Amino acid sequence: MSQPTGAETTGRYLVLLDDKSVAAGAREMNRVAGISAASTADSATRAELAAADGVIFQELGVAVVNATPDQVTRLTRAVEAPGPIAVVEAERVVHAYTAPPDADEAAAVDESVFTWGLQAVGANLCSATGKGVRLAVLDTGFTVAHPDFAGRAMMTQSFIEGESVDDAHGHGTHCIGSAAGPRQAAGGRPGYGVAHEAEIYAGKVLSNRGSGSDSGILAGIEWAIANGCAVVSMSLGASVRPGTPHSQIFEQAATRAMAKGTLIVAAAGNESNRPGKVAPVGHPANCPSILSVGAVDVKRAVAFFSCGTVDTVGQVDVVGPGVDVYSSWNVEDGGLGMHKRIQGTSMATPHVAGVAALIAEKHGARGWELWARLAQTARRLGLPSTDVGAGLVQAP
Amino acid sequence: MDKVVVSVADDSLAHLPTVVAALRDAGMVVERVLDGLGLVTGSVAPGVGDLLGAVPGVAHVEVDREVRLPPEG
Repeated sequence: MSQPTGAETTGRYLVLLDDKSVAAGAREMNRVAGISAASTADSATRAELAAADGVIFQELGVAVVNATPDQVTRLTRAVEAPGPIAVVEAERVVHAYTAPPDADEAAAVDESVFTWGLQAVGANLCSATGKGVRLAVLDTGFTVAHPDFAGRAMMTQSFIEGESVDDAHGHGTHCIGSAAGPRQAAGGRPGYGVAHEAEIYAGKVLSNRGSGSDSGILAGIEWAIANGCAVVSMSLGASVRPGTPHSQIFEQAATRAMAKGTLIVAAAGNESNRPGKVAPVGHPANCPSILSVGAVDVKRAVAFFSCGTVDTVGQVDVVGPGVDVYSSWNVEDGGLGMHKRIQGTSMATPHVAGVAALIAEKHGARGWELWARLAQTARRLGLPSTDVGAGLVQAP
Repeated sequence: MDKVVVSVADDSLAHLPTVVAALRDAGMVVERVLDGLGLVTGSVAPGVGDLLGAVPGVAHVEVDREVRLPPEG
């Protein structure tokens, strides 16, 4: 039995019954503990309810019962045995909330084992790895020979004419590192990859100079869907002026992708200059069916550059770690080996995509269910929803 | 030539090849047909893009924009 610690209790008990068989649960309570509870489904009278040992809320599959200590012991034993009684808890007295004091989270983070980003989304504490989940990153390609990715399952495809998938820019390699790089790295360096066993699909839709076109991105999305990718991460976009409608075509593409079990996650954009200027979410992240990602820093504050919700559509949906982000790079960089620290909603986006892959693995969630789980489990930040949406995504 | 992206309406997805043929007849140089998304990419002579919207089975026509990495924050 789980006992609420420190909470005031009523002396009654809540019994969670197997939702497939509430009736069997009621019979089992009677068999093991001699408790006969009236069901709300039987339209019992007040008198009948008062005479019974408790009430079963049929739709919820929950019984509230009076039980002696001996009966509680027997119910608890039934929880541990297979059967329709799932959980027994002491019923709590609840009160209206008073505002809790602000918790001042320590800013200094030890990055000797994991990057702050991995810690902020709880990836380092999560047993899911992304194994068996396909995750596409559409960007400037990938440094296929990167030593941190030796032996990893990887598919690559270039949608840029005249360029191989090899990443002469570095941005794509950095994004793939955050989404799916190693969680334990060699040589005393921090682990930096969220879904470190996900199958990587590296699609090059941006040239080595960092530009591409809608049509190339759409071809990349199509490729990801055809390959059964659960998640597509896109750290790219075009800035838009306030009031610009979103692309009908990308919206249609996103809803069709969702129908096929592919969630598209995209960077909100870096055009803000806070606190003075908040720029709207860019294209294509401003499409309602594309999950738009803003950036926070190590103190869980909104990054000064992170685009915000300006229009009635084009909202920020969630945020990820996007300042001072360490990940893989295409060349040796200033004493960090083939790694680099950079910032942007581009860096926040693959963290979110990686968390999505972990949730996809753990819960088998795809499409809208995956979106819902990402938003529902995101850590609330006490910041405007126009800047951070549901909050900071969390590994399952 | 202007580069464009054309989306095919839900109720015409089953007849995608017919829509693609009609787009060609209307002057579109088709580059890619994205079956999974129901989209067609390609190019048209300047000013013709809007006419593609009148092709049966077409839902939307948009300019194929340039997209790039966000400037670093």
